[in-house]
Amino acid sequence: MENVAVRIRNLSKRYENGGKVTKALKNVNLDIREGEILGVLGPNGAGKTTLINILATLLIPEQGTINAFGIDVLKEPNKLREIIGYAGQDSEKSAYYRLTAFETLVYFSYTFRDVKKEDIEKEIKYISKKIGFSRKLNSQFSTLSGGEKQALIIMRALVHKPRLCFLDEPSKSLDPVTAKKFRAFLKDFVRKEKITTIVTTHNMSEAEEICDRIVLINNGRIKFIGTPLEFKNIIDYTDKITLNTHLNKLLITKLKKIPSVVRVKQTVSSTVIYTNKVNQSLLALTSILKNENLEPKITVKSATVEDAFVKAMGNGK
Amino acid sequence: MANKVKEIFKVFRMALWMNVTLLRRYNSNFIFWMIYAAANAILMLLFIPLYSASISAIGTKSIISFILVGAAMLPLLEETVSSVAGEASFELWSGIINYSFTTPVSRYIYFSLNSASEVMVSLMIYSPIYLIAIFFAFNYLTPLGVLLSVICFVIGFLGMLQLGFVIGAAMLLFRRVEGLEGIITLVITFLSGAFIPLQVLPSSINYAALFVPLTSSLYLVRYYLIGSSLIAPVSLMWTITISELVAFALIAKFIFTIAEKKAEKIGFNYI
Repeated sequence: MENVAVRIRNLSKRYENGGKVTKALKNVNLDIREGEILGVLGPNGAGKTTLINILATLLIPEQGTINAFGIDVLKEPNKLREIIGYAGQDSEKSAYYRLTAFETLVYFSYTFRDVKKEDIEKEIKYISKKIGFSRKLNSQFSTLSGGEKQALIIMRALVHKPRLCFLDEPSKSLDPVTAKKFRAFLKDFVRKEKITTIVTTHNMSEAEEICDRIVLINNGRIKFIGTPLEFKNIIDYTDKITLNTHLNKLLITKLKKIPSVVRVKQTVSSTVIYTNKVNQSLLALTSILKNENLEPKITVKSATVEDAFVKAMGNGK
Repeated sequence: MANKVKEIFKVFRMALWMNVTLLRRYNSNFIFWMIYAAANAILMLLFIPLYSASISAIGTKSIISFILVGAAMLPLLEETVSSVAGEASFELWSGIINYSFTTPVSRYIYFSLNSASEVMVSLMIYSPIYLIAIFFAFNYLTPLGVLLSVICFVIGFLGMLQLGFVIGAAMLLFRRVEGLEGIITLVITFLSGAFIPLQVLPSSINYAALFVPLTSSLYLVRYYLIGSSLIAPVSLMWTITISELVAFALIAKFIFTIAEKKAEKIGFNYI
């Protein structure tokens, strides 16, 4: 069994604004394993950022306990601060405008962390090469694009090799190419350095690709904890077969009778067949279509974490 | 303890490094600031006839040095007051505060040293004025007088830094406190004796001015440097200077702690 790096028990947090009380977290219990990448998913306002900010010692909860690497986080926040990295959502502004990217990383990492300057400089060069940021190191923060600023803020969270790292929506403004490089780098880097990483994201493919486990939060409560594969099991199909045509009722009835077909949905111009054995369904489907002399365009797509997320949020039907 | 001292030096060194880096990057801005500082001093010297009329009350050995010390100390220490608030404001606006508050460095030390480093850079800008003031007072300077005036300056500076911290903490609590900052700097400008010699004002105003931040330290600097008269016994001036530093430090620490607690409860995004 893996070592537990962070143990959260009965964590509750509420906000009061103008007499209105919002319960952001309700009795959250969670074990985060050492060295894993844990994805925190949930709709807007679910409590993801509140959870990260409490773990990162920015907020104190009303109730509960947190133990991280043997440190009682609520009693000894400064001890925890020595071993964490943090990238919040304010990347567009959250550095000194006139410093270059390199100076920014040196300033923040060396000033605030107990690391050698030479090590920091070496690490900056290594990481920036990995995510394709090298040519931007001498650019001033103000001249970087939104995605570049985001990349810099992520580098700032990782460059001192923390034991525990919090990334709040890390890839939200990264372009697809940088996001892909970032995901590959993150997986590789945190594995190599054994950094326990907690990532909030709305990007479901990112969660699927990089996270060892997923936590789904809604209305301040944990609704699911498990691997992306286990998460996808909450939906009753493995693949979606889409035909770019509307079929008549008789054909729909025939399709529904294929044993591996879970259900069939029709729109004005398409038909979607949800199946849990894609090859078997395709074989039966092509036979039916051949008998009817129909040749619609067929596309097959595997079920994704996003599909599971939509289902879990109650909009799956 | 050794680690704490190491941390303090590192934070200050890096803050200074950042300020000097930015200063070197914008040479023209540095030159404009030097011109501003020089113009400040030159314009103040236009008032020599007015000051000369009251020289017996002011009791200084060099009226030019008297004016220049005030002209250089006032903007420098006003900047000290506003720099912590400016730093807190910038961190709140930019969100850097979320990063800096997740690090082990004491926020109190971090803000103080960042501001101190900014003032060190400003000191470079105002240093020609001090040098001119020293030049005109050169014949009257004694090693002990210079040493005591430097000590008074440092204590005054630290006191103003703590006062700045009070405003900085208020910034964390109330988000915008430019009005409060304006009131404090206005009172300091007119009642510290930097521009208007307090010796020529009614004694009731002198009594009130004694408790205005900067007054006692500024007068002690002038007293030890160029033998200017004081508005109260020297022991009382020392007591006020040191008391102000201690009081402002305690108030600053207290308000800053409240601000931190509030932030931990509701989050910096809402503070």
